[in-house]
Amino acid sequence: MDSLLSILIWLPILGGGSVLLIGNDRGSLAKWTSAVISVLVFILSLNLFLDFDTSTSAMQFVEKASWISQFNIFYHLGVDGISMPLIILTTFSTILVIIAGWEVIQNRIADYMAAFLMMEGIIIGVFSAMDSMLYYVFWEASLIPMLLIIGVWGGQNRVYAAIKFFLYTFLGSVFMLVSLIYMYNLGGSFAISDMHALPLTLAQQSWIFWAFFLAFAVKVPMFPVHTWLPDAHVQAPTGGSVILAAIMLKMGGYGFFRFSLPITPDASSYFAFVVIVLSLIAIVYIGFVALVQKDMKKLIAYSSISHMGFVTLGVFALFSIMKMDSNGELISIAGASIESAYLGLEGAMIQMVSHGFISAAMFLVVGVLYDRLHSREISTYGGVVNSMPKFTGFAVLFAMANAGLPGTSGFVGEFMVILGALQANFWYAFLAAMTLIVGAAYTLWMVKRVFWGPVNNPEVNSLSDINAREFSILAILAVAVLWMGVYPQPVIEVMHVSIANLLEQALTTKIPGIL
Amino acid sequence: MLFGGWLDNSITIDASHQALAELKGHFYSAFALLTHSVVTPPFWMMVGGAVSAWVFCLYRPDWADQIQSRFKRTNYVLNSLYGFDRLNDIVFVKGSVKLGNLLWKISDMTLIDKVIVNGSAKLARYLGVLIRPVQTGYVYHYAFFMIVSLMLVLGWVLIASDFSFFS
Amino acid sequence: MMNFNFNISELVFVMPELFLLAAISSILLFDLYVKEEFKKYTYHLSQAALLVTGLLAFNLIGESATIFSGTFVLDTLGSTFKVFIAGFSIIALVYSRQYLSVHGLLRNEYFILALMSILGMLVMVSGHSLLTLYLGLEIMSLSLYALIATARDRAFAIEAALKYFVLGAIASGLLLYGMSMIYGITGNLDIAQIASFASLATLEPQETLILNFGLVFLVIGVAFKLGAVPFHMWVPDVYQGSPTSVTMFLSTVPKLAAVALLVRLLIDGLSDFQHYWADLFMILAVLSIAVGSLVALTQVNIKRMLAYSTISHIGFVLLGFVTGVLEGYGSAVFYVFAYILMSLAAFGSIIVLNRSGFEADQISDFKGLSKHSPWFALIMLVVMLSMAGVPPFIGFYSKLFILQQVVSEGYVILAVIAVIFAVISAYYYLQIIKTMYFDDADKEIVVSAPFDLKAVLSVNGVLILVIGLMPSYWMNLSVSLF
Repeated sequence: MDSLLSILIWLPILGGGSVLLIGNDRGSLAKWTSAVISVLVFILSLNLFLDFDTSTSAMQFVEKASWISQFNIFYHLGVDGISMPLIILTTFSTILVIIAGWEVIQNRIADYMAAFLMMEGIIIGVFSAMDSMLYYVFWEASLIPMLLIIGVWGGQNRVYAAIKFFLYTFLGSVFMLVSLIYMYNLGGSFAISDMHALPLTLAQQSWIFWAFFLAFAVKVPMFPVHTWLPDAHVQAPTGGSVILAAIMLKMGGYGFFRFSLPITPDASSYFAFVVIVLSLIAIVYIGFVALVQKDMKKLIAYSSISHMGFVTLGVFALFSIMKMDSNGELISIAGASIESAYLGLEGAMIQMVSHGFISAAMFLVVGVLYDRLHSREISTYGGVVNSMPKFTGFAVLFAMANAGLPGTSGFVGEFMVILGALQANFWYAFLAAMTLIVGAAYTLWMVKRVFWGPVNNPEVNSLSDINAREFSILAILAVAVLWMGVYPQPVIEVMHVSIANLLEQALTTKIPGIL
Repeated sequence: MLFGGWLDNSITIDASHQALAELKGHFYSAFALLTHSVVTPPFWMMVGGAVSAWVFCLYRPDWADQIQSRFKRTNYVLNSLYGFDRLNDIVFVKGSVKLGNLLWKISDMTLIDKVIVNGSAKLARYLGVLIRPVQTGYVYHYAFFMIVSLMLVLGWVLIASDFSFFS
Repeated sequence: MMNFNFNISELVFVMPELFLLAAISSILLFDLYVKEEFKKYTYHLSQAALLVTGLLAFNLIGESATIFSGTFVLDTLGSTFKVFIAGFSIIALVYSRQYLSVHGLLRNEYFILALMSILGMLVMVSGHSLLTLYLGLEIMSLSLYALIATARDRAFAIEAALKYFVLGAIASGLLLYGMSMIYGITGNLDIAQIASFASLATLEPQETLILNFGLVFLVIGVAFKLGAVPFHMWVPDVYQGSPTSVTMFLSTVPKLAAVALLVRLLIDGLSDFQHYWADLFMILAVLSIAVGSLVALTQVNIKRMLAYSTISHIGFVLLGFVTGVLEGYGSAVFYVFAYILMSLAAFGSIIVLNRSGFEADQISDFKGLSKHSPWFALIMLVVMLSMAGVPPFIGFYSKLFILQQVVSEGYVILAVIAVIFAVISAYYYLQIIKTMYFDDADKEIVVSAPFDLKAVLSVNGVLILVIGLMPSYWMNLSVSLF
């Protein structure tokens, strides 16, 4: 199909529009329509994977049409090995979210489904845009459905959380807009590939790097611009938390891959240390903060920040591992093996995908409990295993994955990043590995207090175990988590060539004169 | 390519630390090792353990009680595993929780969220409140404001022209 | 001195103005002499007159002439502006009628006064001499003062009209004073003559200074009409006090005319002094964006909030003129078009909430609107996000265009300041969205919208999205005007 990506973007958006038209009064029709659309989009998106050519780093499934001619802005889509897995993650998660909201959302069901469908289309647009202005339009537009999802279907303090979420990310991204415009005025093009080739002095790169950094760091989120995340997650409905954690955070990580490294390679290298320190702070500091949370969603939200720290660590550790010598050959620094640079970057990618599965699963687990007792407090629960044995089985599996147990997807990404970081600097790896202790501590402690131990609350005894709908969602995720844990090879193969290309770009200086 | 065989080379031996090669030099034969073991301390400690177990459990169990009452302190230390569990509870568990609370409440919630994030929002609102009273609703205030602004602008033009018209 | 000669064939180029004038006179007579039951057709006749005026102006696009001894110019910019003025006014009158009829303010003078002020705008757009421009400005302003006062039993409206009148008179006086200085130095009222005088390389320092002084007064006159800080004081009070329909009219179409005034005086006339007035505009723009964004945060009255939001939008428009290049001016014009489209839809949504005996002008009146009438809430959502500059709506592209021009002229800092305040201003737009979507209604909501209003408002809202998705044509159009 020539216009596969366009279909993937516009089918859910227009589908969402038609679900809006169906209206809340005909909720069941709206639900089924959304479910059919989301499954259809997922099946279509699998074509991206099946027809993907793993031997090239060039963009595939490319579409290009003139859009805003006076700025040379094109409607230009394409995917490579970095964006393709994220698109499939998006279509996958949307199905889960739509099924998860099936009986739970009573209030304005059609609007709810429509918001998630539009969200899906917009995020696919973010991952497939090859023109930076098209990218920016999708990037900002993704805030709108999420704002409404948090604000309309959220918890007690939803207004504060929704507006904080919006303004935080909006503030982060406007500087990206200015720097995109700045580069357009230098190079006369908004195409991302042209920006990759644009020569920039170190000073220019530094400004652009920090502008990008602000946008992406808020999204990832990195310490110290992470404080919107716990609020947004806690207040959002389960589906909103899932999309937020599984996909929206990845938009930040993706930004580092697509923009920061190739466009500002010298500044990235120059400031890599700062980013690594912030990542390590996120990993360790946030781990300790997660330990003391009394609210399950908040705990998982903080653990998300901590896990996303691995992504940025894996990306920026690269600059302590390799450099380019004067002949344009990639050489390693201080005895590190070339492979460890791949380990860092590919580990970061795997970590993004895996975190998509695990965080989605964790939020769904909390959602299942919340639907029953309407409490997210850990202390409400205790001894859930007695009344919900099947559910506890899944929950413990996902908790283990969150703690990074080998055999689950959580282990693979983190292990790869730690191995990569070890080659860069012992202390990076040491601090990162701390998370295996702290992460296990907060996750298992939560499991212990919620699922095991004595029953504190008489209502816990009357809980009914998960129904077929919940079982199927959790089972799908369990398969995904285990599959990624045991056999991540297909995902790695898909991205390998693109990563190699990115590595080359990230280590090639852009400073005029040195070029 | 590394990922042709994923984790293929994960157990390799660094050329500078040939531990197995070293071991190889000490390996003679199974019988030699057997006879050699008789003269090593671990062998005799094993024998000591077996003998003391026999003495305290089968031969004279009451000796155990007597020793326990005579060396109370030693017994306590040994019974509480040299205090490692309590060290873990107090220092690591409680310490981590305390550290976590500190980081969360002080750094995360107060410093970042309250001061920087909500603080800047408050600052913007405060500036708005500060400027707002200029809007008194009186026409003469507004007119005065316009004229003063005009004066300022004219003054600025005068200064910007470097008074070159005087020359 | 000027040699007035008059050629009958030149009348072709003033057809829109002539037609509108004739239409106003006949509608006035019509209204005076027909029976009571036919009086309701005054509205339809006014709309028809506007439509024909717009078509006549559209017909003239591409023609270019300077007629009546250089006092009147016809160019693409003028004709296009006239088409837009007529078009936006038609939308505004559709919304106005609903508001006026639910509040018992529906008097036919309203439409005639509106048409009169539109005539003033048309004259202003084509004015090519200081006198014509001033004439157009006064026709427009005087009609607007009277328009506010049509709600004569509302104390706030009378107060607003008086304030606007007094302050407007001061501003007109300043403008006239500036014109007299320029006339004194150049000895000419004709814009083209003034331009050729100002471009002389042999200007004495004194001449430059007095031209500069005159320039300052002109800039202030224009800034007052646009409502730029520090000449914005009338804006919030007049917006709040006027009947909502007048506020809507005031905040939309006259801005286009004011931009035309700016173009005629400063770009056609004094473009050689561009670096002087650009500096002034830079200060005005930054102040407007800052004050508009910050003070709007504290408002609870939605008309007052939109007043401050207008001030901050005007700041962006001025940024476009700061650049001093044709694309920059084009970006400013595109911004004005976008702003007017958004502002019309915003006020249209407010008017929809009005009903007999209930004046909707508080932000809290929007509570729970999304449940009660999702479609109007969605339109308002689109408008607010668009005003905040969130893609994919038109407001984003207008900001993008301005920022691109500003950055390309090297004012990166200005762009950064502008976007920071854009984020601050996003907060109060979000407040409206929050009120509509996140809050529950605490009182009865009645949405009263006849079919024509509903249709026009829907088209208006959809345009904000559609032009946002395909802004290329409109951007080209705006740049091609210069």
